[in-house]
Order: sequence, then C-alpha cells, then structure tokens
Amino acid sequence: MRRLLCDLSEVPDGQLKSIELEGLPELAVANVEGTFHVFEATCSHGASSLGEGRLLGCEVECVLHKGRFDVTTGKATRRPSKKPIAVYASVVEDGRLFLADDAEVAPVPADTVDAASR
Amino acid sequence: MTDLDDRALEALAADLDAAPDPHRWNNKYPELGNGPISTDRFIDPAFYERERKEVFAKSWINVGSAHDFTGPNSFFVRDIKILGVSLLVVKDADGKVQAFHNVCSHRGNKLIWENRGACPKLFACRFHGWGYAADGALKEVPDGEVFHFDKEDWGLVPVRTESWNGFVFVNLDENGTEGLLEHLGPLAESLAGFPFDKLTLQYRYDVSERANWKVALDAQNEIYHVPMLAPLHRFLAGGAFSSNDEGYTRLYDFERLGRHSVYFSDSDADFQETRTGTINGGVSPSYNAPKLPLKVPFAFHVLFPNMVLAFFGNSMFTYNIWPEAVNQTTWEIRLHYQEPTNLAERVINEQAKCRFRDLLCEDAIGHEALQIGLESRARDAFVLGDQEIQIRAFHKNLDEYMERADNA
Repeated sequence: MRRLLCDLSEVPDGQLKSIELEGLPELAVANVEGTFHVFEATCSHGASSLGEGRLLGCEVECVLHKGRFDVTTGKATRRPSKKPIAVYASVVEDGRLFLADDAEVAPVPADTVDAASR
Repeated sequence: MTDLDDRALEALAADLDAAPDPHRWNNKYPELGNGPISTDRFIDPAFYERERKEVFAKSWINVGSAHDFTGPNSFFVRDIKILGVSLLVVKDADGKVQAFHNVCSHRGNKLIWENRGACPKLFACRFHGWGYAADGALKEVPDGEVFHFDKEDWGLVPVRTESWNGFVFVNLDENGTEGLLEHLGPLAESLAGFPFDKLTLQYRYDVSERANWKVALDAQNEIYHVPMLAPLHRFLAGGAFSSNDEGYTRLYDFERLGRHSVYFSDSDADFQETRTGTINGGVSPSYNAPKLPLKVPFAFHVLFPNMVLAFFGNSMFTYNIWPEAVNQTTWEIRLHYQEPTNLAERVINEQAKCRFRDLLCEDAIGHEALQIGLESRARDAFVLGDQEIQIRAFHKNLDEYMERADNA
C-alpha cells in the first residue's frame, strides 16, 4: 500500500520538509524546481536532521557541520560528509506525494552527478 | 575454553589489527604525552620573554632565501622584531652570503632602509655618509681626519650566517657553537638531494595578526580542521587530504626529526577535481606532471623554531612566523612554483595562488579569534587529538629547547 508523505503544497519550491512515518527512519522531502525528492533525513556524518538543513539547488546542507548531499542521488557532495544517504522513490497523485511501492532504495553511490562543480 | 571461544577471540584480534588505531601517533611517540596544553604559553608575557631569550636569541633562524637576492652582489634587509635587530644580508660577487647588523658604526643609525637590491659600490649611511663595502669593511668616513680611530676596527658587525638549499639562516648567539646542519639534523638528511631548484618564489604575503605566534603555527600544524572549516577549506582543499569513511582526515605519516618534525597526507581516493582544476590539468600536462620526489602529495615540515617548509603537489610553500609581542605576529607566507614558460602556465600558478590565499584568509581570521578566547582565560588548558600530534611535538621541542638553555 502506498504511504502518504505530504500534500505537495506543504513543500514549496526550494523548501524541505521532515516526515515521520512509522517503521521508517526520519525522511525528508525536497522540492527542486517542482520535482520532489525523498531521502533519509539523518545526516550520514553526524547525528543531525537534514530536514532542518538548507536546500541549495539540488543539494541539502546539514546545519551541524555544513556537509552537503545531492538529494537526487543521495551522494555526499561536500565535506565533511562522505558516506551517501538513502534516497526513496516517490509518486505524485492528486496533488499529494506518496512513497512508491518499492520505495526503499539502497543508497545510490552515483558518480554521474558532480554537484560540487555546479 | 572451547574451540569456538578460541576462534572468536582470534577473529576479534584480527579485527582489532585491521582497524585503524585512533591513537596511532601517540603510540609511536609516547614521550609526547596526551594531556592538555596550558593556555599560559600563548598569553603570558613571561613565557614570551623566555622564548625571546632562550629560543630566538640562541637558535638558527631562517631569514630569507636565494630568491631574495637579485643576483650575485646583491642584498636584502631582514628586521627581526622579537630580537630588536635589523640585518643586512649580502651575497657578494662570488656568491658568498653573510649577514651583518644593519647598523652604522658611527652613531647607530639604521644603515640600509631599502628591502633589497643590487649592492651599491658602498653601503652609505644617510646620516653622515659613512660607507661600507659588501664585506662589511668601513671604507669611507667623510671628514675622517677629525676622528680618532682605525677604520679596520669599525666595519659592520657580522652575524653567524649559514645557508642550506638556498635558505639563509642566522644565529644571533655570539657564543653558540652549534652549526646549522647540526641544528637541522635528521630533517636535513631527509631532504638531502631534494630538487629545490625546480621551484622559484613567486608570491609573498606578510599577514599581521593580533595573535601569539604559536597560535598561528598550531592552527596550521594540523589538518583536522580541513573538512570542517567553511566555506572554502572543505570545498577547495577537502579532497586533497585523505579521510576515513566518516570524512575525518587521517595523516599518512608523522615523524619527529630531531627538534623538527613532518606530517604527510595522501589525497582522497574519491576526490573529484573542480572544473577549474580539471581545465588547469589539461592545459599543460607536462607542466602538471609530478616533478617532486614526494611519496604522497602533501608534506608539512616544521623547522624549529618558527619556519614551515611544506610541499603540495608541484609547489612549495614556506611560512616564517615572526613573533612581535606576546599577542602580535607577522605570518610571512611564500609560495613557490615552477617557473612558467608560457601564459597558460602563468595562469595556472596565478589560479593556484588565489585558491591558497583565500584558504589562508579563512585561517587568519581564526587565529585572532583563538587568541581572544585564550586571553579570556575561560580555560587554563586545552586538549589535542591524535591527528594533532605535530602540535604536541612542536610544544615538546620548544620546552626541551628552553630547558636546555636553562641548564646551560
């Protein structure tokens, strides 16, 4: 069964939102120019929630040590973060965002996106 | 104990062997200790006075290099505020380097006020026109017949001077017997044959800081801060310093070399070069090919007491950290690169310089903030981690040098 994350209107362009769903780690939703990305909210570096961070383009910056991750791939893009975070597949339906049925995606060690040089 | 228990213990021992030792350097050099370091060392005028008297007045001090001379028969002037001296360092026509007190023998005027240049026929004092040759001999005394002395006794006062790989050192201790090579000891041996001549001095910054000289040195003397300091360090330098899976830097090696020391850092395996870096690398592949015999790209030597000699890829940078008061320092930064042979290579050097300069600006702001915190005496000591081992080594060397002076 699809699990509801939030209404799209709750996450304006360029914003983040923390989501707590039973049985899952804390998640966060990022709206990057109208496309929604769902990722594990706990920073892989330190015990801090990325849901409280800043969204800079497609990168989320942790408030604690200012490490960054590409929210589209989960890849760490700025030190001190080094390990990736998990990203989750999602679907939009009727103005609402749901976790996809097979949402639990392993961290993607993507090497196709080099956000640091953007 | 059962066989199963034995196997478990063996597996545990193997795991422990494989895991990086978080106290690796302290275990290698247990004499460096692991306790806190006192705040007083950075703020106490009495400690500063001991440093002046027992270290700077007695140790070999780097005052410049071959790059400060415009050629044979040239000079540069070096003022050393902590010792209250000005030195005239002369390279004669045969290439011999000798430093003199930059003081006219007549009335004590500062003799040469220019920073550097070709030797004039005579070094002339602007006060009464006394003139000295490049070997310090007094040659010209206007209206000399009114004086009552032998000119031979009133030349410039020489200072013990020795050179090593183009670096000029002086020692103000008239009674000292230790030579420069003895002072450098294993550090000189470790850099024997190093191709210093592939690099030339291309940029210099003299940064005035309201901080103790050791605050500036210590802040540069570790790479623990590199992934954290924002925004530039982590962006421009982070990938050039290898780190563990958690993103924390780990030294490749650390060695005590007599009263000096060195740490090495490898580059990160997953470092992605910036676009500018990638472009620079492609512009002149032969220029960017590794030229220096380094086992890893980064080596940071501290030459006791106040010099840093560091290599980064094909470049070398030196620091001379000049104490001027207990909380005032000039951080002299010199950047050495290969001599460019065309405009593209010149641009590569310029770009590397700008990156490095901006990183060091981020550091410099921190130095003054550190001094303010130390002077507040909020704590009477602070702590160091294993990755900051070279800071411990430096302070240990400083203590040992001062104790030696106390016992002399």
